[in-house]
Amino acid sequence: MMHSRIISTGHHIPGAEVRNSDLKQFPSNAIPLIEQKTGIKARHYAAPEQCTSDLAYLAARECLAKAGLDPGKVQGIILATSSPDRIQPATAARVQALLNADQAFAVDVNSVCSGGIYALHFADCLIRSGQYDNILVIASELYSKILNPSDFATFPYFGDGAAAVLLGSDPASPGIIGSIIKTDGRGHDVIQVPGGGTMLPGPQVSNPRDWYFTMKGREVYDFAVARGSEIIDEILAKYQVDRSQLKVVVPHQANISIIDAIAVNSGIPRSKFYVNLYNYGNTAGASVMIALSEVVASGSAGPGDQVLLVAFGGGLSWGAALIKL
Amino acid sequence: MEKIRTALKNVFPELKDEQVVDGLKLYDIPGWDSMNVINLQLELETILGLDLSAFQMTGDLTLKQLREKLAQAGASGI
Repeated sequence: MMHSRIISTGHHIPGAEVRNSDLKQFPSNAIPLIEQKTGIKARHYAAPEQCTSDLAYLAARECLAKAGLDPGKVQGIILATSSPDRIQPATAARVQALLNADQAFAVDVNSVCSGGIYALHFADCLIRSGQYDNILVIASELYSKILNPSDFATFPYFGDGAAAVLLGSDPASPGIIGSIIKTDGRGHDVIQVPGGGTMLPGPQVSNPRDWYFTMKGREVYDFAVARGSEIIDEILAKYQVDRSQLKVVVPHQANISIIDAIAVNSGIPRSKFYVNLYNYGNTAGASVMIALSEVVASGSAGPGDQVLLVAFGGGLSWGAALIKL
Repeated sequence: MEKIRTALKNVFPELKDEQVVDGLKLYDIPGWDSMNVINLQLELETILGLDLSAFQMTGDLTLKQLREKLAQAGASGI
């Protein structure tokens, strides 16, 4: 049986750091709340002329360079994004062109903050099928252009960024031990950008707020803690991996309170949870992939180590992946 | 109450007119959280023309208590 394993990773964090105190549109007495409630101290925004595919390209280029793989040898590109360049075509198509990866199919996956794990899952399935020898998984988000700059409930907590993971085939042993993806569509309106699609077409948008990302904070918190904790138990049981065998847990970087609560619920020491939201904020579907790339680059986990990814987001959707580096 | 109602509905679009009564606790507003309270503060500042930066708006306040506090802060016609 064919398996997939991680060949290389790369990530790109754009622009200069934007500190909480730089968010001058909000009252000064509100600024400390950002860090108190979420742990976030700073985030990065892409340049005005950049779009999601530009960030994706830069992360992918770094990933392929580390692998020493000619872009022309890439067989598929799966791009997770919930902030695409345009409604159509797939953002991945422009990334394919930028990379000159002309032999690769290119497709988007939109599962909001779970997108990175969804894309990894699909790529792993394709490689296990035996039809592909490699797939470039990218997660790229540019939320600074879809957030309402006046909305304190969303704007301060998100940042831009991208990451890429090159999966290759391995007949000997699985690098992606297994992954699980789940959706509860009853929560389809908990996290959304209301306008611009077929439900509320652009010309019918009368409230400017409908162009922007919205979320119901309390519902998201409750969902994330419950489902995030639950799926950790499920994936560890399914693949018979003990908590003590995990080197690092890479959770979606939404909010430090959510990560703390999941650590308690899952019985995994909080010290094993990798956190970078302090400096990047929530980079949505890219957050887990950026964190994974940093874990690999920093040597926090190395060859043979087992890493658990877990994410949750709009849809509502959630997922987890067990990886052996 | 009309100005407060407008501010509340701008920030919490799921709030129904019949829910906007004196006894409503802010915490019970659909969509209320500790971040949206800042949006409500900003919206009230715009609608009432006041600086509410020193204003403490907690979830256990009722609309009646909110109105009284806003009146103390200088709001009129609420």
